[in-house]
Amino acid sequence: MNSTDERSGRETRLLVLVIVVSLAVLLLLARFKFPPVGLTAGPPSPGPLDKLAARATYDDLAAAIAAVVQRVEPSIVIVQVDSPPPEEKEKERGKERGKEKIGPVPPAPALSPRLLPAIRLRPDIALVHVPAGMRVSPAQGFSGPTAVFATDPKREIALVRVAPLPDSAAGLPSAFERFPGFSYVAVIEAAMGGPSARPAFIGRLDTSVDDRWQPSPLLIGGASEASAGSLLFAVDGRLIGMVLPQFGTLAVVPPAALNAVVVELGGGGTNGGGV
Amino acid sequence: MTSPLRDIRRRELGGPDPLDRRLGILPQTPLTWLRTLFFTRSALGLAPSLTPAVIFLPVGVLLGPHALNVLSPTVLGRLDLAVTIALAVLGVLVGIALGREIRSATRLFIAASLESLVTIAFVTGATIYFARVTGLPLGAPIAAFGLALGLCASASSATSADPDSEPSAEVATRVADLDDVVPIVVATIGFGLLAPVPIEDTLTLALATVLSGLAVGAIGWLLFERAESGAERAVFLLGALALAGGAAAMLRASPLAVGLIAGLCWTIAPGRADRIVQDDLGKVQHPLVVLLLVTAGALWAPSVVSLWLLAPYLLFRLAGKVAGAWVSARIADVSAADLAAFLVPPGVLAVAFALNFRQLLPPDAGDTLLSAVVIGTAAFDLFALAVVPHWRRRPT
Repeated sequence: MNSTDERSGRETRLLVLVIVVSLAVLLLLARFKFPPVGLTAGPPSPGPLDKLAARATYDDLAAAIAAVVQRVEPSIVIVQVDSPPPEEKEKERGKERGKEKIGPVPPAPALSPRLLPAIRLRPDIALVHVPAGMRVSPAQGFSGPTAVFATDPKREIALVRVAPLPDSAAGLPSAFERFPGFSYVAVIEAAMGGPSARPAFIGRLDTSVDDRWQPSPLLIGGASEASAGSLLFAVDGRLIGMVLPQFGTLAVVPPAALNAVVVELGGGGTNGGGV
Repeated sequence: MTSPLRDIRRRELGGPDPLDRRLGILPQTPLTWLRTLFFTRSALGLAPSLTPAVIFLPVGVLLGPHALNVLSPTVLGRLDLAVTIALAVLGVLVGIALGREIRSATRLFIAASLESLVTIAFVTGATIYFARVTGLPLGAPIAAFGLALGLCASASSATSADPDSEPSAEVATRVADLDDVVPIVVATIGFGLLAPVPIEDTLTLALATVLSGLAVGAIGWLLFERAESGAERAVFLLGALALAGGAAAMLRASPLAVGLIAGLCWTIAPGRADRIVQDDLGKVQHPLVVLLLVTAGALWAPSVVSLWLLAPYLLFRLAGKVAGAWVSARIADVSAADLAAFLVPPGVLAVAFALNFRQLLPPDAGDTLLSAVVIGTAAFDLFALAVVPHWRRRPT
């Protein structure tokens, strides 16, 4: 065998060795699973010229709010609520009359259907505000919850079952503990195609005593720019709370209180990653 | 007698010193061996022997937001356009190399392209498999990310070779120059095909990239030779390069591709535009390389995902280079082991590709890709300095 053949044979052996070792190590390392994190594909980075262009502060705020929507989208489920039909209302009222001996009540005007954002607090359970006299109705024209898990008329909320996310912990929002107020936040509201958002300034927040919630909600001072049922997120994507009616005004119910209600209604404890 | 630990880059000028031979060579200690990695004894004294990537990437990390914060995120954002122009300059250099070699060394170009394609296939396949099986959160479509990492892996610099030292080093240097063409072309077409946009938009973008390159090439060709002074010519050249980078940034196209087409135009077109460009770029080439490396180092963001990605990147880049060299060695008429050894260091082109893809991918994915390539480049350059000389030293 001449030196060229020897050399060629050595090179082929080297090639085979390198490939076999690489494959073996890759297959070995592929046996490990990466811990799940909620990272989803986002839009491309802004181009180099975009970064140089003069930007108004409002542009930065708009970009921050858009980024929040993109980040929290897996945590939000759109739920439709509407008034029950008159005969169902009458049946309900009849039950109450039988129980509490209350007199006949004139029928309330029917409320038009509304879309509200539900916050996913477990991989398959989301919490939504259901105003008094309304109920969760089947989604029409969009993918909504699969079923109602529990309702709590006293707190004006309901737990709905939603399609679980692929990763058990991904999509559950992280909580903003003790939001101090006097800050711009993203108000998440519902739209047909998914969550929408707008910036709002939240000023003074005062702790109110309300035995329905533990810890206590925070009353929003002044005229609120958020509506009942909307969700407040910090610009870094952490959940500040859900805006719910309280004492004729609006209050922010913090994530810990929402979580406690889920446990109380049988939605189970947290399983990591969420509030 | 020569020291077994000296490779061709650390050889003294003019061969072994007669005085050394008379005195005999001192036994190597671990410390002296380490010193030989950092310095080379030249006629003018001690000179660094490490590649720019090994020096300037850590400098960038040190200056970056994770250490001294001299290059803060705001500064790095402002540098993005300078990086784009630097990428266009690298594209021009690749285009000039291609224009000169394509007619005289078609076989070498084919060999380099084959070697490059094999490496891209190895790293892309391994990354897609690894990310799917382990559930790596890449923040971008897995196929696009795998392709981007594969394209970064295909770059070679042959910096461990002195092109004049031996025939195989010369061939390897030319292969390393030419193997960057395929990744630039694949990046221009492949990314468009993987993006969730209609095929017409992809074709329009590819056409716009080509037209931008041709326009810059035509402008430069008309202006360079008519300049009345060196300073005026330099202004024309910098203007043409700024146009290449700016057009690419505006179109969100690859500045490497725009520069490559412009460089190719200047080489193929009659006249001496290519020589003018090469002479003038020689003055700014090294500062731009330093800019790219320091910026890439500063943009390095430590993350667990980028460390996980090193497994397919390091293993399959090496395997891809060895397999690619084995495939192309017969065409290039060189030893496969020598070619593979010289092609191991990725050099600045790998970092340039990563910076380019960082501009195209979502922010998280771009940072992860760049971080993996920065660590991988430094690791491969060190590997090439410390291990490859031993690898090539075999009984013949």
